[in-house]
Amino acid sequence: MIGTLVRTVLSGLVVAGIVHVVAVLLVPGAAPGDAVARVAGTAPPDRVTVIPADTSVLAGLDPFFVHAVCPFDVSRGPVEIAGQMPPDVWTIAVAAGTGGIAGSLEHGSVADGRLDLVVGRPGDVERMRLQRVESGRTATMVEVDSDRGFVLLRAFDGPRADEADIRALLSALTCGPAA
Amino acid sequence: MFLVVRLLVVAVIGAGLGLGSVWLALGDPRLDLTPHLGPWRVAGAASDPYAAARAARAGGLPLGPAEGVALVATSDADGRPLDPRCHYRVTGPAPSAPLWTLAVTDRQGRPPTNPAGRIGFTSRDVIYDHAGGIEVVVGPTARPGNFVPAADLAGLVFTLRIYEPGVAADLPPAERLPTVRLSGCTMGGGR
Repeated sequence: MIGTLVRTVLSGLVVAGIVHVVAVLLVPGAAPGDAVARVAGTAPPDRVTVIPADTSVLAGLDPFFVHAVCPFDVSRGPVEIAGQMPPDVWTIAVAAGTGGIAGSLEHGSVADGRLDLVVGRPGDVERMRLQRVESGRTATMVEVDSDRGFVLLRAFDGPRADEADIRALLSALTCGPAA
Repeated sequence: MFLVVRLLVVAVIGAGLGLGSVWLALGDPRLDLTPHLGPWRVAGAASDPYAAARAARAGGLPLGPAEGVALVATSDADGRPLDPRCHYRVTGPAPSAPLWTLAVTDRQGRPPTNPAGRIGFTSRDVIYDHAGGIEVVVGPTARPGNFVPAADLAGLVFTLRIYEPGVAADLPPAERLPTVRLSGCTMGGGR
């Protein structure tokens, strides 16, 4: 009888361990207010929208930066974010699906501050990469593992910077189907 | 019948302990096992599934590998929780990155409000000491030098963000980062 009880409890502990691991891995995709859902509910797709650095859209943003987002859905093909970035420090993160970061880059990784970022499914990105090689156009390519996500642009609003200029530059970026 | 009861017990133990331990692991900061550097905890370590789950629940997006790293302090160097009624010195070597920011907020991420609009310092506006180090004082009443008034905050969190590609994978040792020291507390500060 005691042996049966011990085996039952041990089996329960093994199941608990499996449930724990599975639940932790599922939380990013199941959380109702994850970053992708928050951005999709705030900013329209296919355009760059400046968002406040408070917690109203995304938590944990740096208050010394100006932030902008472009939500995307790559089910119909890759999207492209392009244009002139602010002159000081900036960074970009591409979030997709479960809110994980699919790719990131910073101001030193593009020439002359001209951003050309293509985001898409691996097959689409590979096709786009080959097209770009043939046409001689260069772009930073980021592959995502799910259709919906967003690009987060962070631009430093330094002591000698003009926040209005930074906001204007970020808002002027194009974001839409890749050509 | 006995087998059904056994299976039910296994299911109850498995679901209860499994989900309960997840709830505890994600909700209790004492069970946060992300890397620590002195008083600083690495926020949103990319390889940590618990950090990813916490970030998803909070609705945030950590800095990516090419962006930099965010370090969060909710306690001082001696492990005492930060109290907005007390003065703290964030003091020591400045991060060697081209750009860093030190933001002061409450636990909900709200910055302090004050006439100067001072919510922290960056590598561009902080006053360095003769050795290139920094000393930023945070507290309820004004202090000379690099000072952040935090009298209106209900809680206190310091976030040090270091903007440098690859720094998250090659974190500086704690002795090359500033630390957080308690300077003193006002009446009723509980110390």
